Amino acid sequence: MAKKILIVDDSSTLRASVEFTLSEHGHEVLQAGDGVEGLEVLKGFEGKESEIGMIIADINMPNMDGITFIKEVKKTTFKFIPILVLTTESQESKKIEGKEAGASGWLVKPFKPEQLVAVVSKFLK
Amino acid sequence: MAKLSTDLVLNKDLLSKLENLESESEKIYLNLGQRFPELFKELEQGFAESGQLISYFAAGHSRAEKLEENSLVEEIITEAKEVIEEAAVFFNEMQKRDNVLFSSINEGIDHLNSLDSRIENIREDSIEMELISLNAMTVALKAGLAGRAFSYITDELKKLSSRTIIYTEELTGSGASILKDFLEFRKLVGEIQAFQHRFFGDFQERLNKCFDRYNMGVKRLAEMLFGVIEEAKAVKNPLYRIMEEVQLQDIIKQSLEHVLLSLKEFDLDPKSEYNEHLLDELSFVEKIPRLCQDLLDDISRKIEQSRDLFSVNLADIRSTLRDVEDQRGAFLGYFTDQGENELEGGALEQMFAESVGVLLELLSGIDRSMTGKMAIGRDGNGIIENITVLKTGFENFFEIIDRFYAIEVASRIQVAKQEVLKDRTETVNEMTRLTIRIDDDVKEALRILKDALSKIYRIINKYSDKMEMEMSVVKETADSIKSSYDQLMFSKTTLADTLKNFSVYSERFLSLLDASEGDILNLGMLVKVITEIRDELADVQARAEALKKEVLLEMGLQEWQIKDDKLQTMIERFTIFSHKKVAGEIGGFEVEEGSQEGDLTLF
Repeated sequence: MAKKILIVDDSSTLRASVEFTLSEHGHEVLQAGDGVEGLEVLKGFEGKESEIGMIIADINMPNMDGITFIKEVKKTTFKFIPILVLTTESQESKKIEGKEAGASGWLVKPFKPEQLVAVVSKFLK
Repeated sequence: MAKLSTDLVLNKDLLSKLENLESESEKIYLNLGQRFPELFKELEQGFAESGQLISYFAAGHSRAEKLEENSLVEEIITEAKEVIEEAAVFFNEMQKRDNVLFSSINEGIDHLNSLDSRIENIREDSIEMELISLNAMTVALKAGLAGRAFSYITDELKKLSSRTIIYTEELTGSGASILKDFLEFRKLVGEIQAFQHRFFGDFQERLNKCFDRYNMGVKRLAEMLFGVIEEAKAVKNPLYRIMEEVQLQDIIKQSLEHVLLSLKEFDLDPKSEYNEHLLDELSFVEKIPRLCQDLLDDISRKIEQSRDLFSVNLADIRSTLRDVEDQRGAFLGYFTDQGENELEGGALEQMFAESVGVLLELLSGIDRSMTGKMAIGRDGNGIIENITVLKTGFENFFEIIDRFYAIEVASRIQVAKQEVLKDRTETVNEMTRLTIRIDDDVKEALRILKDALSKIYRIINKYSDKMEMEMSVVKETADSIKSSYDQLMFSKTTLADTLKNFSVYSERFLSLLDASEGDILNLGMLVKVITEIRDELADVQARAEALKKEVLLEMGLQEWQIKDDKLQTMIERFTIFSHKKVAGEIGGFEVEEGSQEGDLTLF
């Protein structure tokens, strides 16, 4: 069974674009509008963590930002799931913050579909 | 306390306009973001459905194998070929049976020819008998009273001979008539046999050739239609590019938030005193409109870039739609022969017409053959009746022969009894000889007739029996062929309808595309609103600069270097590096370097 990918971003157009790109390559995509929603989605997969292949998260979001979300995920049973940050933020200090929180990669928006697909394939291996 | 000559308060409508702009742009991009996956879904469904439709006609096609294993046309043609194969075997057998009839008829004719010579013998012998009777009569008359009885006998012989001559002439006429009927019968059978040989000999090959051509034509058409689907898939790339561009809304939204965030910092107390703090504030607020204008220019560029990209790609999609429609129209021409190009070997409808034409020809041939066969049965029975009449005629001959024998005995008695007639012994012997010969010829003629009758009767009866069976099989065969014909007509109608309505793009796809074009037009409205906001900000900036000059003049200063870091603090909340950089350039300070769009870092 193909693993699911969770996209956490407050922009619904961005989520639609990511879902379209990944689903065209056979991936099933789950969506959440912010960190809080993202954690709720993950909660639904407790006990079947292996079904989630990776998480793609934005940094600047309402309710719970991306860095906090990553830190929260790392406290759960989903801590081994790779997290790719997909954000407009590109400064080194922000990346370090993300890395320290537990992110596995950082991709500056906007993304090229083939690039996103390549990173996802790499993380899912 | 100094009072500023003019207010520098932002029009609240400006913020509302920006907030509306943010929500409108999100709505437009989201519409596109939601519609295009739908368009893709419709597209994939359209490709799959049209592919299935085509493969419905063309089995064995490499691209069709996954969709349908058997095609309509192939199934119909296979069935029709089976029907034709069975028909060919049957007609071949029927021809063999007809050949037997034909050779039997020839034998019958040979028999009847030999009958003719027998009748001629009887006639000649009867003439001779008549001559003998005349001679004997002369002798009897010369003998006077002694020859009176003999005279009576020879008179009888003369009468009998004359009757025999007339009778043989009648029989000759009947025999000749039967022979003529027989020859005509043979001609009829021969014609039907030749027709069947000519017709049934090659119809299978002709029909199979037509079927194969039609089937190949359908397959070629299917290839072309699959080509149309492939061509239609060209819309995918523009759709991908549009979907890629849709994510730009996220950046536009963040950019507008930067503008809003900056404008919300625009806070100048109109009652402020003329001092350094006021100059700092004015220096800050005069930079905000410029920063916002730069950001709005960036947003405007991005929206225009999106609009152009959407327009170009939608134009590509429309162009592909037109090409596909043109091709579809051309392929309709392949079917109806109205197009500029043709399939190899002509239009499909023509190929179909050839197949159907041969089928109809076959049905008409079967009909003609059966009508001929019925005529054979009818004429054959007529011949049997005539032969039976002739046979009766010969049987009647025996009465005459008995009379001959009686006369011969009476003559022999008279010759023995009357001295004057003694030299007539040889005449009586001749009478005896002729009577025996006539007797033999009649018996032989009768034997020939019985033989011929029995043979012809048997053959015609057998033929009639077979014909009944054949008629029933032929009717079934003709029904099967008609059914094949109906099936082929069905395939043609379905194929024509399919071609007429063939479209890889569904109605929903086209309506979604129209709606997307409407969204793209709305992007132009956003640019217009941005220009209005930008103009308002230019006015604000001019007023801020005028106020700053006024304060500098009042304070006796030429210029003022901003002392606080309000701008630096504000842009910390910016989420896009290029915007921070612009702010740094305007504010004259350094910002932390960031990476480019699309930059990937793996930890």
